Amino acid sequence: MSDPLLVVDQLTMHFPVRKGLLRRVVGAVRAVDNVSFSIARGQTLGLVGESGCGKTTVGRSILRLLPPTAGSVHFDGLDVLAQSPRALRAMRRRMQIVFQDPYGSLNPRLSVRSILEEGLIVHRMGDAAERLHRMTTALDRTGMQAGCLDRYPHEFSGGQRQRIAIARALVLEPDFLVLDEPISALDVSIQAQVVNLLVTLREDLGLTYLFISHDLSVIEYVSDHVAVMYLGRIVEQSPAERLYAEPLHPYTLALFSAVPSIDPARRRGRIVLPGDVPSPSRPPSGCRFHPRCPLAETICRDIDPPGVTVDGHLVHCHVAARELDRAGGNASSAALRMAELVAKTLDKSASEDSLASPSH
Amino acid sequence: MSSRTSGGFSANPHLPASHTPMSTSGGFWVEAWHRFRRKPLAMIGFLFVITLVGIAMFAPAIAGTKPVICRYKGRLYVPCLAYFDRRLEPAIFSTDKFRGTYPANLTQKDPASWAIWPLVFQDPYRAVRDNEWPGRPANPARDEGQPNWSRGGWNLLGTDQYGVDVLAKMVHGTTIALMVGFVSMGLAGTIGLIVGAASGYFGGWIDLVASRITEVVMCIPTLVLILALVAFVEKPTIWKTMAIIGMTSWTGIARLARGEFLRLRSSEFVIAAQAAGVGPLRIMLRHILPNALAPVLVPITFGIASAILIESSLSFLGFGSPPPNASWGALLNDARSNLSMWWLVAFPGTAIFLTVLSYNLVGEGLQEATDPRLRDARK
Amino acid sequence: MPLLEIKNLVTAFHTPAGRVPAVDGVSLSINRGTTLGLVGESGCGKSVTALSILRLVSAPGVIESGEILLENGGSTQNLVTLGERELCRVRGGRIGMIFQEPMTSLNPVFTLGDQIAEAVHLHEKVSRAEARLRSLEMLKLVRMADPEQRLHEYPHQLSGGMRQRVMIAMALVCRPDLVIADEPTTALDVTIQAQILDLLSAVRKRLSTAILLITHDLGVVAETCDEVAVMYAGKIVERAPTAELFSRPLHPYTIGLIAARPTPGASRSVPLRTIPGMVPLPNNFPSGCRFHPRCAYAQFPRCQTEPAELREVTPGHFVRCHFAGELDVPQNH
Repeated sequence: MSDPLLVVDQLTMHFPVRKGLLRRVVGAVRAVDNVSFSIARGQTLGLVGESGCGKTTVGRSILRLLPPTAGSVHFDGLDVLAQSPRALRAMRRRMQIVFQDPYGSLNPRLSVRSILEEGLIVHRMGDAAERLHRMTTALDRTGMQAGCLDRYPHEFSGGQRQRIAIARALVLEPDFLVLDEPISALDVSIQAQVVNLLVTLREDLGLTYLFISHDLSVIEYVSDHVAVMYLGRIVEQSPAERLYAEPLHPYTLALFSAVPSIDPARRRGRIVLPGDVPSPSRPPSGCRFHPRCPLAETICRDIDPPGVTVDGHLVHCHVAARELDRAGGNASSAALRMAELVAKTLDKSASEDSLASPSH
Repeated sequence: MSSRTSGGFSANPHLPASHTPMSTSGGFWVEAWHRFRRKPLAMIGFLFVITLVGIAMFAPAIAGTKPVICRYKGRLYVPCLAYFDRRLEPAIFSTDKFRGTYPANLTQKDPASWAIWPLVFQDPYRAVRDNEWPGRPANPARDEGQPNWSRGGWNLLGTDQYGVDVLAKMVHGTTIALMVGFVSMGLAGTIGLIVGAASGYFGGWIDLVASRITEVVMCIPTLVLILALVAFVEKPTIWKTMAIIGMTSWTGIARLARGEFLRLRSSEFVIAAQAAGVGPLRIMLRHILPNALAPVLVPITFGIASAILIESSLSFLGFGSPPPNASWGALLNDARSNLSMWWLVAFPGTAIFLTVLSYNLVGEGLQEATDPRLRDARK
Repeated sequence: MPLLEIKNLVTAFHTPAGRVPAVDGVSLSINRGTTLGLVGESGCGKSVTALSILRLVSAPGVIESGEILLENGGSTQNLVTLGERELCRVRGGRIGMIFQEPMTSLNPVFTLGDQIAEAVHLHEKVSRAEARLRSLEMLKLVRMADPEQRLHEYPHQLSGGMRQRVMIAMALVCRPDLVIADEPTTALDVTIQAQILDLLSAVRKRLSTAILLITHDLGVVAETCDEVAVMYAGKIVERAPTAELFSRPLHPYTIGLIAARPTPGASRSVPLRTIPGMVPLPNNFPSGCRFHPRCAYAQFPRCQTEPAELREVTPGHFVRCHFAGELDVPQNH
């Protein structure tokens, strides 16, 4: 990747679990474990995963809203984690965040004007007239009128609030946005409006995005690269088209197949993963996905699979690594083979797992 | 906008998005006030408190023996201000040896003088003497002093055992009742908010220490703690009593403030402010405090009510500020040694009861007007 | 005879700001053993419709008019006028309910066994042992691992997906004829949602229970339902068998909803099709055809003034649009 704006290396975030009167540390929630990626200027990295996989934590630790346990984050060549509080504040102008819940992310007691102006005042950007100009420009870009400046968040619908939240980020003229599930809380008919808005802004302002979502179709639509997370780890990462065309990791396969689709052709071969996502405070040994994996082998239980990269397509899976090896590094034939293997286990389990019959 | 073409459905975000579903309104507190105003009981309580504030402010004009305004030797004076602070009594009246008796002295020493008198010519600190007001007998004392409306209404609510008018005492005692509430709860609110904010926002060992202190203070029964403190204080004054009440009743506020700060600290709008580079102090004051204020205001209102009760109890038990003390509780204390004088119990007792009830009604109304959960439950 | 038939249901909330008709003339019918999907966005009235069926709408909401007819051994009973005692027999007995949030729908102080058994005791005179047996059976039916042990566990010991399984077990334990599932998978992750949807359809086949599935997710509906009703602004705007609806949507709103989702492999340089404007709130539904302010085809004065009626455009396919079937609609499938 040329000219990366953001480089995240071995980012690890463990939240201590405290107990007792003296709050001794009795364990750790391993929310994020050795996550590495980089995003080129003007590009979008999609970060997909289910709740509790650590994707939100990744977004927040990049901005140092949470102090990471280990690893490094470089933004435009500067080490984010090594900055002094003052330098960090200056840096934060260039890295902004948009949250999932447009109801929770706007302070209900402040008018839109105060919400937008705050960052400008903190960063001493312009006098009153210039601040007003910046605010109206940002609102205009997000499709809101300047007239809403003196209103309060509760007077707006969810979609409008999300536009205001985006305007708050834009007013500081950032280079990089963390979009943390920016459309999940919105109605279906409003989601498309906001997705289009975000894509337009990226093109017009040359922004770089980290787009966090559990919505695979939206991630596919907006991202240049996609990273799939499971239980604090990135299990697969590649250019978007490649990942969607040739998924290698069994979890990615299952995730794709689990999305309900209105297209009957896409519904065949549903992979229903057994069980629940384990707690990140007690992650499974070896490959963290092995207790739910249809292809799990002995090695998966014992040894954490190292990453295998073929033409920028990274996967952490023993089986996929073997198939890649067999296919002589041809990712597409390995992906085909993986899908076949998973399908085979499905047929087997379908015959065994008929519904338990109640003896009534 | 870029030149991206739109599909069958218009993709222009400009037009529709600024259309809003609701009319403009004036922010949280205005809305809360609108909701509060629709609650009749809370409004009655609120108006009662406002009335008390009015009575306290105009107490010297309602009951007193000093003129509200008078013209004496060619100049205008406002002697009644002396009831707020003795130093405000114009010096000329002491040099001319009035000795607090205005009506006779004014006409004797300056026949051209005139005066506007309070509504009720009665003093909260002493009995009115014989003929002090032309043609009026002295206040009766002891058992004689029951409310008597036939004698021209001189003592509407009766007099105490020394002949001091009860109505005058109660009117002037309003100031104390209100001040006790506001000052002690102002102090308690400040301590509670600072302790709660620090432990909720910073967490860690600060939280650990602050929470344990709060718990220790909370465990000691308030009245016992106050009595112990009062025993330490030499020469108790009403101010010291208020300070003591304030220093012992902040625990509930601190616990609530801690919870609110803890909850709001991790709210997305606070994280968004952090992401914009806002520092911790500004976040606490501008982002968290206004949101935490409404829930904290409710126990403060209830606290005012209980502060008034505590002060009354202290005065009743004889641990209040020494005489001359016009507080309602002190009146009740007088009644203790003169049980046959029912009016010394009934009127101040009713006043305390109504005031405490009003504050509780206001607190309840405030809670319903500001708490979104209760609000939705009633929708 | 359909199992449940709703005729012209009107449910309104009387707020200080005025009457808010959340459900405004909804008619639906569900046959035995079939699944009907009720789709719509927030505020469209789909959840209020569900709550109205069991008369669980809380004050100031009132069912103002309409009939809710439940087939009852050849005759029908109208749930709108039913007495409180008989209503309780219907709730949980003949009609079960599954809510969106499995965390708050289970009582945290009772074990799962107690809670499922209570549902049995409420409706049938059975011994404790019998109720326990039935609970166990239900947990097996919803494919809980270690069902015997689960009987003694508390809700907080379960994950979200497992709690939803327990909810399903509770809804089904009295063998109801109809289960109302209000956004049963919205709070769950995709892989867990797949489990629950899989389970629901398996259970339906086994017990031949009818399901009213309320959701905002068209994909979920497409995969699980026999028939779909699309709600917008308090009214049903389109109703058709699932395959028909998704292959030939006729209402501009349905068309817009389907097109608003990015399709796999779609070109990234083409913006998503959007439905402009905002989702209308129940206190402020537009006049005329309620969709006209957001409709790309509503250039006709008729759309703004005249409320559209639900018409049967092709057999079994009902559409509430003045120009249904006559519009030049871009199809993307």
